[in-house]
Amino acid sequence: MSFDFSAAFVYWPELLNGAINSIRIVALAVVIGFVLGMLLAIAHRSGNRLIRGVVHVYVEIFRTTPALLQLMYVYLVLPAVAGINLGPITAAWITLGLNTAAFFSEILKAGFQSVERTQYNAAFVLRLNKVDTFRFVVFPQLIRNIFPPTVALFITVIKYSSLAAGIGALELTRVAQLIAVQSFRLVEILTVVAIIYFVIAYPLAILARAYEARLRRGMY
Amino acid sequence: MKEDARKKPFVSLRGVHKRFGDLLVLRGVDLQVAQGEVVVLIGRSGSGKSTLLNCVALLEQIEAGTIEVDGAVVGAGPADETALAPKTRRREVAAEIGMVFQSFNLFPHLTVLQNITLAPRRVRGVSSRNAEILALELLDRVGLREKANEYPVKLSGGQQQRVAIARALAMNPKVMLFDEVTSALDPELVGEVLKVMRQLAEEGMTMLVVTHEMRFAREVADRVIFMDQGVIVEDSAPSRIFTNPSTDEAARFLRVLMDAEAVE
Repeated sequence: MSFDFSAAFVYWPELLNGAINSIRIVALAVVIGFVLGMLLAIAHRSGNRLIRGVVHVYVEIFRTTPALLQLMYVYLVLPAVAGINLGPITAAWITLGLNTAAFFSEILKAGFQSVERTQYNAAFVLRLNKVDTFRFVVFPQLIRNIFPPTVALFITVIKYSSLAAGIGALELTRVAQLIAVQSFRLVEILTVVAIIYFVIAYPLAILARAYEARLRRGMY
Repeated sequence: MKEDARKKPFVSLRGVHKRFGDLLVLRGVDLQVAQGEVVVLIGRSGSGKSTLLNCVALLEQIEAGTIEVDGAVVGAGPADETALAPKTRRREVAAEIGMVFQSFNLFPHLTVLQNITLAPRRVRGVSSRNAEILALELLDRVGLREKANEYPVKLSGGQQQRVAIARALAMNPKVMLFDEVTSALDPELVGEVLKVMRQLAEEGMTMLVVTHEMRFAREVADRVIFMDQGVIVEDSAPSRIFTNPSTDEAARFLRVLMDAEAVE
């Protein structure tokens, strides 16, 4: 069997277009996920039992159902039930955004819990006000604690974005599938696409590892 | 001088009650501390001594009674709320109360210097430069100037605790609260922290100290207070409480502590 990677070059405009759509899905999903996740975490901290319950149900629904099914639900069920028609790419970033929010709110929740009560006490007896306590004492420690899992979540979103192929969104994986079938260059096309995903995600993995090494040396 | 000051207490607790859920931790505590006085609080764990310090530090809201510091009522139960000083005055006085904890509680993401300069800069509005000068002076006093740019994790427990003391002193407090500050330390590191506290006492700092260090109590305290089940049962000069305690509870507690110290 001989390989011919030229197919990947022949189809580069399609692949580029697919990659751009993937990045669009990821970028929007991450923005929605981080903003909504933050709101969910803040709502959860509000202490109101009803609000906490709603947040809890939201998080558990997204954590315990398959992301592909969530995509299908938004893309197929929403039009049927609510008459809301979304294009596959729009459906993809909205769904992944909602999904990411659930996971990010959990990361934030754990991050807040990891800043010990005694740190608040120390700030309090130094008479720092609430804003300064958050800004100078809590927030830097929170960032440190949530950074590694947040990067991991980011990488997960990149990988999950390929699930949008399942609802026909012309993102990188779907484009690759179509080209591969059309050109009969399955191995080459899928390999090139895997490399593209790797190239996008790997710098994030390096970043996370460098940060963790820094922490191990006792620095921030 | 001390006689003069004693006429008007610097810290004054009247009928202080504090509960955690169903548990009444403080059941009517009355305590006056004069300026420059060193008061050591002793008692079994759960006797309410640490809670008492937390109330004075305003970390806890009390259920009844009043807490007065430097002539201002800074803490009061709901029934005495009208006695509270105006908010700005309370904030002013709160900044005169410094506290050091058993677990040091340094900010791990900040260097020693940053730990000390944060509150003066943000609360007192001191310039960075002046805050640093002050911090280095304080580090000199606690013998840690060379550690100014280290992170807390690089320091021993004794060093961390001395930084915590310097951090509290940077706010220029008029009264210092010490909550079992040597209890988390390895025995060989206790001395260096006590030395700093002793020095502070000699300089005339008003101090409330919860500790199990009986030698410190004997040598440094002006008064030793024994607490049991949320009330003060004995309030005497150290010379008296250690030789001739007036209550059986105090006698029993002290005997156990002395025996432990003798073993060490």
